[in-house]
Amino acid sequence: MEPMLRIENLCKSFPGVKALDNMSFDLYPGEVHILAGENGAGKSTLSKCILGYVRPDGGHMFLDGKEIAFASPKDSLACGIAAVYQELTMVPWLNAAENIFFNREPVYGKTGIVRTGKMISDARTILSDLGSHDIDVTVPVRKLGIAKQQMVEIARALSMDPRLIIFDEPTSALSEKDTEALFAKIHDLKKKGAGIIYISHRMKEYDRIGDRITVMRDGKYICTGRVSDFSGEELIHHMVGRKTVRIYSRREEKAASRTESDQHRKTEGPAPAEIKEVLKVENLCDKKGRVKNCSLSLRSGEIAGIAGLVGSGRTELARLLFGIDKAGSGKVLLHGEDITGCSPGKLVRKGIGLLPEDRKEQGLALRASLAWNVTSAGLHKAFPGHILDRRTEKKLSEDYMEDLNIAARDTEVRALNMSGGNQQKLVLAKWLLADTDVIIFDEPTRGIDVQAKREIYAHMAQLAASGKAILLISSELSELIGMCDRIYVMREGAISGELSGEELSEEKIGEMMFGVGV
Amino acid sequence: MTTVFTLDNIITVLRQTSILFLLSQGLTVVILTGNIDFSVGPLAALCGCICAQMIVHGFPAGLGIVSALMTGAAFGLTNGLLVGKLKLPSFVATYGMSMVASGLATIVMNGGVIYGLPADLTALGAGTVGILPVPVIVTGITFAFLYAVLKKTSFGRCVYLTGLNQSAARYSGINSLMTILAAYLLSGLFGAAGGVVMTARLNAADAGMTEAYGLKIIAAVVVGGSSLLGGEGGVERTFLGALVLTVISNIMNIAGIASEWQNLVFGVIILLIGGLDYSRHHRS
Amino acid sequence: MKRPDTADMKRLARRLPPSVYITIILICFFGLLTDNYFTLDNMGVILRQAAPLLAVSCGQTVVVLTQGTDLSLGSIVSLMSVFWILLLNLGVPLPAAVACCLLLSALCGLINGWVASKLKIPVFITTLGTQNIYKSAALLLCGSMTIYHSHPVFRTVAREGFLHLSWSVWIALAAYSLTVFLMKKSRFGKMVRALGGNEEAIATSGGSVIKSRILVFVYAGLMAGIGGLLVCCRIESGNPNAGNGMEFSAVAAALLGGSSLREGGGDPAGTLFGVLLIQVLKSGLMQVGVSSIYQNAIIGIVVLAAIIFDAIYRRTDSE
Repeated sequence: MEPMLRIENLCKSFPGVKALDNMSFDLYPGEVHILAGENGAGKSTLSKCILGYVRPDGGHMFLDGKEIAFASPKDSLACGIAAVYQELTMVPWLNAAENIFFNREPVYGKTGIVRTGKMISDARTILSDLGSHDIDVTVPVRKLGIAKQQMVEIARALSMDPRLIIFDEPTSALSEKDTEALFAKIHDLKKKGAGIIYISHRMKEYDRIGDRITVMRDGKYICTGRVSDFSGEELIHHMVGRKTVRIYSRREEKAASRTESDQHRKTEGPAPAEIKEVLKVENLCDKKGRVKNCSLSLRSGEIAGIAGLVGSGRTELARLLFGIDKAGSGKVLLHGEDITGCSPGKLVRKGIGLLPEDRKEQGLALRASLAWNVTSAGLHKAFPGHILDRRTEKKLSEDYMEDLNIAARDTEVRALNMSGGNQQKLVLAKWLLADTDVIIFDEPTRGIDVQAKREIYAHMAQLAASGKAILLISSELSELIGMCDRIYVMREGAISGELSGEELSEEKIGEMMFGVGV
Repeated sequence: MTTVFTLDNIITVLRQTSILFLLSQGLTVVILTGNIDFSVGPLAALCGCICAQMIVHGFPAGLGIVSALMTGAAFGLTNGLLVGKLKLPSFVATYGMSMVASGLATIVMNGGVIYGLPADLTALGAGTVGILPVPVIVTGITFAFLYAVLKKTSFGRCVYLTGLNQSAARYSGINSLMTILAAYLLSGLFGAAGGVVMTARLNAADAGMTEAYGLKIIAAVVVGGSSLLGGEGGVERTFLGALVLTVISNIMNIAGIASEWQNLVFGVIILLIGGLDYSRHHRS
Repeated sequence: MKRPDTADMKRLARRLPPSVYITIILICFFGLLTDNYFTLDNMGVILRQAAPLLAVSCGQTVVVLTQGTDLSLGSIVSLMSVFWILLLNLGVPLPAAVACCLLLSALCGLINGWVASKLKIPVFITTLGTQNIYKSAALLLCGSMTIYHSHPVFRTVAREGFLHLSWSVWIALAAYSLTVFLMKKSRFGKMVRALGGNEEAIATSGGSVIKSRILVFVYAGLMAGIGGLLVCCRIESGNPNAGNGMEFSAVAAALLGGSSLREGGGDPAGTLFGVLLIQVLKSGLMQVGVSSIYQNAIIGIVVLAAIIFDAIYRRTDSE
C-alpha cells in the first residue's frame, strides 16, 4: 500500500534551535500513527509543517505521492487535512455551533448570511456523535468548562470531514468518558480509511489506539515500529535518550574540588560554611489550579532541580515564588520570614531572583543597551543613592562582560543584536549584580550554544559554592542530573516526588514526569 | 537671511516654543513608559482657568497657581490609576479624562472669558529677567529638572525600562504601577504649569484656549524622535520637536498657509513617524 | 413558542446592560422634573437627536468588538457633512452625491484598516493620525466655515417621517438593525468576534486576518458616513466641527451598551441603549434647565464612569 503522507528529510530552524533535523515520517490510510517525544522534540513543529503554518527550510512532503508545499492552513484544509490544536482555537464569545463551523458556516446562497438552524442541528449531530449530548451548542463557549471546549475543538476538526487528521494532546483536559468517546470516533475514522497522527504524553493511550509509533528527539527521527513492539521503559529510554556525553557535571567537579578543599582544610582548618535552609515553601497553591499544594525547601549552597513537562506547573510555581502571580493559599518563607504576597520589587530586595523562561520577552529589554540590562534588576545595588552614574554603570558592565565572557563590542550594544547565549549570560549578569540569596533559573539553557551552556553551568556551580541557594527548572533531564543535588518532579501541578543522590537517573525522572509506575 | 538669526528673533522663537514645550515635556515621560496622555491640552486649559478664576475672585496669585498645580496632580494621578491599576488602554482612559477636563473648564469659566489679570500673574507670561522672557526661564528650569530626573536617577531609568519592556521590567522587580502613576503625575503637573503660563501670557483665560495646541503636543514628542512604543527618546528631543513645530508653524503663517493645512501636516507627521518607528521595531 | 416564565424573565433581566436601567431611571427623573416630558413629540425629538450618534455608534461597536477604537469616526462625520453640501452646491444630483459620500466614507475606513493591519501600526496611532487628516480635509473643503445649501430633502429626513419618528431615526434604526443582524447572523459577524477573541481561529480555518480587519474599518467608516449625512440633515448645513467628540461618545455608547474592549465580548444590540442613555441625559439636562456649560462635564464623567465600570466588571468577571 502507498502511504498517504510521506515526509522526507524535513528540516526547520528557528533562531538558535534546530526544531526539525532531517525528520522523516510516513502515514498510511486507516492508520493511527503516534508521535512521541519530550517537550521540544519537534512534534509540534512537524505538525505545523504538515498544516502549512510553518514553511520547512528543506526536505520534501508528499501527499498521495504528489509533492506538496503549503503556503497557509488554507491549502492544507483544501487537501482535507485538519487538526485538533494543543492551544484552543475557540472564539470565547461564539457558541459551540459557531465555533465548530467557523468560517465554513452554512449560508444562504452567496449572501454570507448564516443558516443558524441548520448550523445548530448539524453541530448537535456532530457532538452527539462524540457522545457529548450535554453540550449546549447555543451558549458562548467561554461559559463551557475547558473539557467541553476541548470536545468542541475536536468536533470542529471532525466536522471538516478530513482524510488526514492531527491530534495534538487532545485528551489532556478530557474526562474518562469523553476520552473513550474520542477513541471510539478515532476507530470509526480509521475504518473509513482516514490517516491519523496522534501526539500525546499519556503513554497508556498508545496501546489503546495506536498502530505504529515514531519517537522524536531533538528534532530528529529516532525510531518507528508497531506500538506493541515497545515496552514503556523502552519508549522512555528512546525519548530521553542515553546522553552519555554530559556537557558539564557539577558532581564530578564537586568531587574534585572537595578533595582539594579537604587538603586545604587540613592546613587552615576553618569550619565549613553552615548550611541552613534559605527558602521554605509550604502547601503553595495558585488561584487557577495550575499549582497545587507544592512544598519544597532550599538550602544555601545547593542546587535543587524541578523536572516536569511543559504545563506541569513548574513555570507557574516560579512565577508564584517571584511574586509575579499572587498565591491562592500556602506560605513562602525566606530565612524564616513570611514573604507570601510580596511584590517582585520587594522580593528582589529581600533576596529572591528569577531568570525567566522567556529571555526575550521577560528576561531582557531587547531594545535597551547591554549596560542598561545589566543594572536593571540591581539598580538599588549599583546606585544606592538613587543617582545614576555612567561611569559606575560602564565599569560594572565591563566587569560582568569579562567575568561572564559576554561577547559584545562595548557596553552600549543593544541586547537585540546579541546572540542567544550572550543574551542569557546578560540575564545572569543582571541577577549577579542584584546579588540575591535565592536564584531561580527557569530553562536557562534553552536554545543556546554548547559553549555558553557550559559557562552558565560553571557559574551556577560557582554561585552555589559561594552559598547561594539555586532552584533550576529544566526540561533537559541530563542538565538536571548533571547540576542538581536534589530534584523535585512536578506532574499536573503537584510535586509528585523528590529524588536525590543515587536515585537521580533519566529513567526514574521520566517515569515520575510521565506518571508511569514501574 | 542675516536678520533671522538675531538674538531678538531667537528669543522670540524660544518664547513661542516655551508653552508647547512645557505641555509636551510631561507627556514625554508618559510616552516613555509606553503610554499616551490625550488629556494634557484640556487639562492645561482647566488649570489655567482655575488659576485665573481664583485670582479674579481675590485670592493671591500664589494660591491660584498652587490650586492649578493641585488640580493637575489630581488629574494626573487619576489617569495613572486608570492606566496602571485598572489596566485601561491609556488612549481610552485619557481621552475620557480629557472630556471631563474640558467640561470642567467650561463650568469653571461659567461659559465666559476672563480678560485682564493682575501683574503678579502676567509677569509669569510677559515679564523678562534681563533679556530672557519668564516663560523661557520657567520652561528651562523644568526642562533641566526633568532631564536630570530621567537621565540621572533610578526612577528615570525605571521609566525607560517600563517603556522598553513592561514585562521584563516586572521580572526585574521594577514596580511599574508606581512608575506609571508618577509619569502621569508629572504629565498632569506640567499640563497645569503650561496652562498657568499660557494664561499669564495671554493675560486671559477661556475654556478652549489650548485647542490650538491639540495634536501639536503629541506631535512635538513624536517629531522629536521619542518612540510611541516607549523607552526611547527624552525631553531633550521633545525640545527639538517643539522647536521644529513652532518654526514650521511660523513659516506656514508667514507664507500664508491656512491653519487647517497645519493640522493636516501634523496628522500626516504622526502617521508617518509613528508608523516608520513601529515598522522599524517590528522588522527587527 | 413557550410562554416566558419568571426564570426566563430573570435571566433576561440579568442579561440586559445596566444602561437600560439607568436610562429608565433618567427618563423617570426628567419626567418628574419637567412638564410634557412623556409626550410622543418629546420622545420623537430625543430620538431624532440621537439618530446620527446611533449610526456612528454602530460602526464604533464593531471596532470595539475587535478590541480597538476608531478615533477618526468623528472626523469622518464632519467630512461627510461638508462634502455632501459641497457636492450639492456644485450641482451634483442628490442620489449621486449621497453615493459619493458613502463611497468616500468607505474609502476613509479602508485607509484606516489598510494602514492599521497591513502596515501593522497600532489602531489608536493610525486613527489618531487620520482623525486629524480627515478633520483638516473637512476644514479645507469648506474654508473652515459652515456651508449651506437649501434642499427639501434635509427637512424631510430630519423632521418628517412615519409614526412620530423622523426618517433620520428610521435610517439610524435600519443601520442599527443591520449591524445587529450582521453581528449575529453573518460570517462577517463571526469574523469580528474572532478578531477580538482569538485570531487563531481565523488562521486555522484558512481565513485572512488582514482582510477581515480591513473590512471592519470599512464598515465603521460607512456607518460614520451615514451618521455624517444624518447630522447634515439635522443642521441643514455642512459643519466641519459637526462630528467633534462623536467618536468618543460612540465608544461610550458601545461600552455602556455592554460591549467590552476585552476579548471581543458583549452584545452589540445594547449599543442602542448606550446611545439612548447619552442622548436622554443630554436632552434631559437641557430640558431641566441645567446650563449648557455643565453638560459636557456631566457627560464626560458618565462616560468615564461607564468605562471604569466596564474595566472593573470585566476584570472580576474574568477572574
